[in-house]
Amino acid sequence: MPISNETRQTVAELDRKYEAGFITDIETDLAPKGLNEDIIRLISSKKGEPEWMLEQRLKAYRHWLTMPEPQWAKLRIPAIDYQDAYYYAAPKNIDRPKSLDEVDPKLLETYKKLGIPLREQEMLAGVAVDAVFDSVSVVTTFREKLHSAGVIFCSISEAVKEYPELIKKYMGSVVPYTDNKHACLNAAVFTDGTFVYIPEGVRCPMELSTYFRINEAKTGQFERTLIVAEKGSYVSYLEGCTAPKRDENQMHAAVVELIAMDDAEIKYSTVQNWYPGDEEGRGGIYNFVTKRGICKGKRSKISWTQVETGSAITWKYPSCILLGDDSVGEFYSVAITNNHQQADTGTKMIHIGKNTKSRIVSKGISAGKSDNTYRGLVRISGKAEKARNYTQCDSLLIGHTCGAHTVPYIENRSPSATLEHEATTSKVSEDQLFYCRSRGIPDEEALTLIVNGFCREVLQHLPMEFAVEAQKLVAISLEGSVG
Amino acid sequence: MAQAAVHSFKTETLQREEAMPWLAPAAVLGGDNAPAWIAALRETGAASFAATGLPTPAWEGWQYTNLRPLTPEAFTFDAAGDVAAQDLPAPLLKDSHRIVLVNGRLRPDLGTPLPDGVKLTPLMEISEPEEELATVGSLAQSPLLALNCAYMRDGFVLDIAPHRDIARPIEILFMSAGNSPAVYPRVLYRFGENSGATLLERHAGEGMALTNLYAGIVLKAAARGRYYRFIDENGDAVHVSRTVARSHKSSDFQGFSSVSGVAAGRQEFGLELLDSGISSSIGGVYMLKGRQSHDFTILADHFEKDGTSVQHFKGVIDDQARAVFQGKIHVHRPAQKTDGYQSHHALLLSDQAEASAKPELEIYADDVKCSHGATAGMLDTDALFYLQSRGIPAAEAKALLVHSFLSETLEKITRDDVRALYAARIAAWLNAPVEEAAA
Repeated sequence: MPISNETRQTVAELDRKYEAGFITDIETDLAPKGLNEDIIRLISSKKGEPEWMLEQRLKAYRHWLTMPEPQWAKLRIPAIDYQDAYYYAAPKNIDRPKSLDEVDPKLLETYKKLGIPLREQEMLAGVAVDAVFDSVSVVTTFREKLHSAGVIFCSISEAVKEYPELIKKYMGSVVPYTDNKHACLNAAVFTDGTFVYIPEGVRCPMELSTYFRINEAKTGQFERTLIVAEKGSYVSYLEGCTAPKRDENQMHAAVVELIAMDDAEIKYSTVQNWYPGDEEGRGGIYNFVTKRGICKGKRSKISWTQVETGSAITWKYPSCILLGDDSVGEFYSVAITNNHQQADTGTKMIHIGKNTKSRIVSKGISAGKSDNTYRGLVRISGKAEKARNYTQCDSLLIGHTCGAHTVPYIENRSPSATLEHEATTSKVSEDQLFYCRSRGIPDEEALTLIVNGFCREVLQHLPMEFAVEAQKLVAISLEGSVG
Repeated sequence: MAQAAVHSFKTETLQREEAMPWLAPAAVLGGDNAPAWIAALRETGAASFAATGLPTPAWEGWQYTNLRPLTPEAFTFDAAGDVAAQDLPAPLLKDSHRIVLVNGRLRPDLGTPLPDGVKLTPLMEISEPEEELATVGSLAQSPLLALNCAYMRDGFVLDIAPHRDIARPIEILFMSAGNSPAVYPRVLYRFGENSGATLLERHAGEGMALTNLYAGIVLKAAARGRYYRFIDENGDAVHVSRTVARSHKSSDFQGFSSVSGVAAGRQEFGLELLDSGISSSIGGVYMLKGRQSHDFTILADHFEKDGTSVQHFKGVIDDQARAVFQGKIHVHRPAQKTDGYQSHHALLLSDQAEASAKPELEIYADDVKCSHGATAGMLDTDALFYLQSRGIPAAEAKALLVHSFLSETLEKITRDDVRALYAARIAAWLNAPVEEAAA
């Protein structure tokens, strides 16, 4: 064993902290528990949606009833009682505030604890935040500045009303409601999310960001993100997630769709820090997310970067369909599991166009009694001449009660394609720790140092604002795992 | 990935109906007075298969190999058919011992006497089986094994006595003969403590045939087992097999298989490293063309510490052929200081060839070194150009490059004469396309 018993004991005494684990006491507008057609009608009417949207929701719901739960992931998922959850929760007393000053101060306090300095951000030329508190997008900053550039950045419910043509055209075009059970549920009950539209030739003047947060007990969060990048445009989108500490499990079934036209580039970064449950594995978020992008145009590019540190169960495969010739898909992932967390995450790269390229770099870190699986598909169709894929999956095990798994699926029908796959599994070596210790660096810190080094390749793909946060999260997630 | 999601239960009754024609011919086994344990296994196997039917691409592990085109009516169980001694293929190696089976039935008249220290017992003569013979694991997950159990009759146990080193290799020749036979042999190769032997298992025959083999290999402490398989059947045969090598303390196992002839095939290998200090390796080459399909599915299971396992596979795929490699290294919690290595490299020679790979790792111990590499691609055009610029015709240059690509897998084979046998098969396969190109 790499670490002495003594250290193990010291560390066991440390209580694992979940810094975002507070509950905000705000009056919430709740729909009755359970899921049926009436609830869906209620959600739709609460949001003042047009008839066609309601019809789509009902169609999805009826299909959802016939769909089996996905079973193939290496996860132990307790049976989910879909009737024992709220599908709509909105903070009361807010009629779409015009500026931050109108926002409930308690809400702002919450965000402050989370470390999104909304107010500061308004001053500093930085990140525009579409903050989602439970299901309703509370405030959108930097709206005007973006508007002058022609960029649409608004909540999806607004978009349904204001840009119905765009929504009709693109929503569900990448992830159809028939895709899988979780995505189908989302299509039926999604309550909010973000819509981004970058017009032709526009380079989005700032990084866009949404902070999601589940607050109300027993609420599922079903947000939907849709990003359309027209010809020659560029956008970088940041997504962060946290949830309060609760004993029961909460479900999060989101859908993200990205569409990139000719020469467009979308960079999508996620730092996921949902509540992972306590040391005994009680509570925590079930994170069942369907994320998919399509490189529709020639020379388009979609890049996913994710740092997954939270959630009791993660089921998530951000994917790229490389349809346009010379398009590029990238996936950079760090997944950290500790205690009883389970993660089954990875990507799918579907090469259809000629000269398409994809790159997958996945770093899995398991500690405690957790299980961490990389599951990825690389499919090269017969038409994808000279397609290239490079995949690298590295796993790091900390302690001997966790598991690390790699399940890549590689399908090649194009002889001129080149596919490379590499995977390694290792542990934090006693030598590395000893070296740090001899330089006076305590074990916990040394571990963070080593793990950050292990993840560097991925972390460096994050935008600056997130890279710092991600490094801190790595440290928090691994607290108490030495030994 | 997504296609695996539908583990559909609604078709189960349908599958059951489909399963019955596969099981019906087993009725001829009815009055054969099989030992009780065999009768019991037949029943268990039949019941399990009736519930599952053949696996479909919706099953995890079966996404890439579709057995649906396989129909029970195309094959005859207990088919008549014989091979005369002079029609048998020449022995693989001149100085080897030989065991011959025709359509699964042992034929001592066609074989050679076995040396001291080697004992052959037909399955049906065993009344009190050891545990390793009578247990089969989970059948629901392996319908083909269940089917093999349902037809249990043909096969044998081959025992290598403890502390004996059998110098000359033993060839086990499975011949198919007659009208589309279906054979379900079950064999157990048992290497006694500190014994050593080289087995050459060869499958040959003309015309259509279905082989569904279960081969158990047991290596007692410090045993050294060499197991080389040659699938020399021709273009119409279907070969499915499961081979499980159970290794005990400090034993050493090396297996290898080559396949080029069958219409469709799936070879599953299980390496079970049950104790510490074990070395176990499996390798293979495949050469496919036309509409052939073949699947290597490997599981290396490390249960105890200080084990080393190696999986090393390479293949070429031409025309519309399809190749599958699914490999997995499973390191259980106590298996610290494990070295696991896995590689698969496929060469696609045509636009319509297809290669699928699933190189998996499942690891529960922290002090291990496991790696896998998988590549798929076409011949290096630069190398091809270089050879051509030196006056080597394109077809020959291509063959040369493929040969060197495949031969690399043979390097670890400890016996020169066995290595030469595999090299000859690679050369023979490569000659065919060269001739076609010339014509």
